[in-house]
Amino acid sequence: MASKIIAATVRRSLYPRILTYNRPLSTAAAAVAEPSDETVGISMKGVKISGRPLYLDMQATSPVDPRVLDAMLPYFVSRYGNPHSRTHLYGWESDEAVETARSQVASLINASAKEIVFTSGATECNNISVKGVMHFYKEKKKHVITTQTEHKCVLDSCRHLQQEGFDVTYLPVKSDGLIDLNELRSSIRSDTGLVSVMAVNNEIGVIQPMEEIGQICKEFNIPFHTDAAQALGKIPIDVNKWNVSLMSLSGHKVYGPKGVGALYMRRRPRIRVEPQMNGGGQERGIRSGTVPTPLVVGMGAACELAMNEMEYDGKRVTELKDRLLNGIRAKLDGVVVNGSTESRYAGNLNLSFAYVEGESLLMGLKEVAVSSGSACTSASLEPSYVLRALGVDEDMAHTSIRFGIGRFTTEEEIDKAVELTVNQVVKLREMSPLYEMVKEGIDIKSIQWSQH
Amino acid sequence: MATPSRAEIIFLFRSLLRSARQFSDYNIREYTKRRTIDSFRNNKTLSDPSSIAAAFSDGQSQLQVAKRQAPWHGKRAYSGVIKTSTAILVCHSVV
Repeated sequence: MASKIIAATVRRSLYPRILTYNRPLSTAAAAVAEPSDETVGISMKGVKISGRPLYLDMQATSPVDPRVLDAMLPYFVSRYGNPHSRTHLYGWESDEAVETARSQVASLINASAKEIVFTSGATECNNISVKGVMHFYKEKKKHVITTQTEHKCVLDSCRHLQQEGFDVTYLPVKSDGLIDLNELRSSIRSDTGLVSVMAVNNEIGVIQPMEEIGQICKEFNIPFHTDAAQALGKIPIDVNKWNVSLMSLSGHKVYGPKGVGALYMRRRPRIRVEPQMNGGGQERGIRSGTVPTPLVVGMGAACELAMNEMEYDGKRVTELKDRLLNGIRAKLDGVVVNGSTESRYAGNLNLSFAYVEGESLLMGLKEVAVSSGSACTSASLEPSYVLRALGVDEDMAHTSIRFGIGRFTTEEEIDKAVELTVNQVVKLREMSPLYEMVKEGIDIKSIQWSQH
Repeated sequence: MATPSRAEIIFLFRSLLRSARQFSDYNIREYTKRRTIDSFRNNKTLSDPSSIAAAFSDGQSQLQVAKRQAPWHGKRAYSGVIKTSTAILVCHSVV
């Protein structure tokens, strides 16, 4: 909390300063010069907006597809029964809808419907998986293996386990963001109870070698958990090929509603967890609490859509990614793609711009909704821990921007984003003494900055 | 399921494009247009009557969804400021 307040204060004090520098060149000035038309915007956090910024933050969340909403609406309006009511039509129809959704989710990941448990989101799934498995097998298993680039909720669950006396190994990643399989193999112990590696990284979009990791886990007979929230509907998932025992899925990353997720739990060989939520025994006692029918129906519809659209969307997202990257690279030098260039999901492009300050860049890009990394950490001025784990230099980690491309992104938006980003970077570099020195041929890394 | 005639298929195509235009939301409008054109182009080579009929009925159900969703999607009452095109983005100022 304190860090958030500090960040907000810094931002506020940073803001006017940047503005005065920017004014003569910025689009803001242009808007002031020519009075805007009848569309009166709203003012939010010191930014006056007359139109919605273009949305390039699909990793944070995605818009709900109209087809998904169309499937959900009946369960908001008249089919409001509790799916666990066994005595009347309201309950029966809701229960049927939930079971349909369960099989829709299952078929996208090639699982059986009985292996799907609906939860409130991927964070809850990760908590159930990491804490639930270790607590259940605590008599014999004391060790967890995960990676340094995991999502916060896995890392925090591991931290929690450490406080309870469990051992956690945080595997380092190579400079391309992928883990070293030999290192994984050598850190496995006889009391290792879980390996947790995320499929697609939320910040840099790299795809871990899931099949190989699954193979290693099978060899040592260790349950394998993966956070596939960012992978669902984007890359083909097959729980048997990957040999996962547990998998976390989220609804709102696949154009479904927020507040719903699904946990895959393998039945053969059976994996057991200690529930994090106790109560009415819904979802086979693993996640008590009334199943939210409309949300679950939405997630099911989103998964079915994703299955049909994966190829079409994938092709398009790749085209748009190339358009964005080539557009920026054509006009700017010193642009680095963070993470592996081969093994990555195209819809997540994490770029670092040399010699500019990341916060100022994001400030200047108010017409583009992008973030510097995950939404969870974008409030702080700290560089992303994922990029630091990759060994990205401090200055480059500070200037990273994640462009998330999705189903509804248009070519026009990409072109606009390229234009605005290039303008902003050029503007910031113009006033950067560092960039001037580089152009003069001075090697910045060799400079001995004096200490005060 | 009877195989739809050429005229019926063209009518469905035009109805889908017409319903796409009803979306106030820029992204959804563009997507609906693009997806309609691409699917019809993709299915141009279908020759098996049953698969033509299946694609046709799929298109019809998509049309029903679009008709139901378009009236309010991206409407100001729900959206505050709306995104009607990318052009609007330039007249947006920082105070």
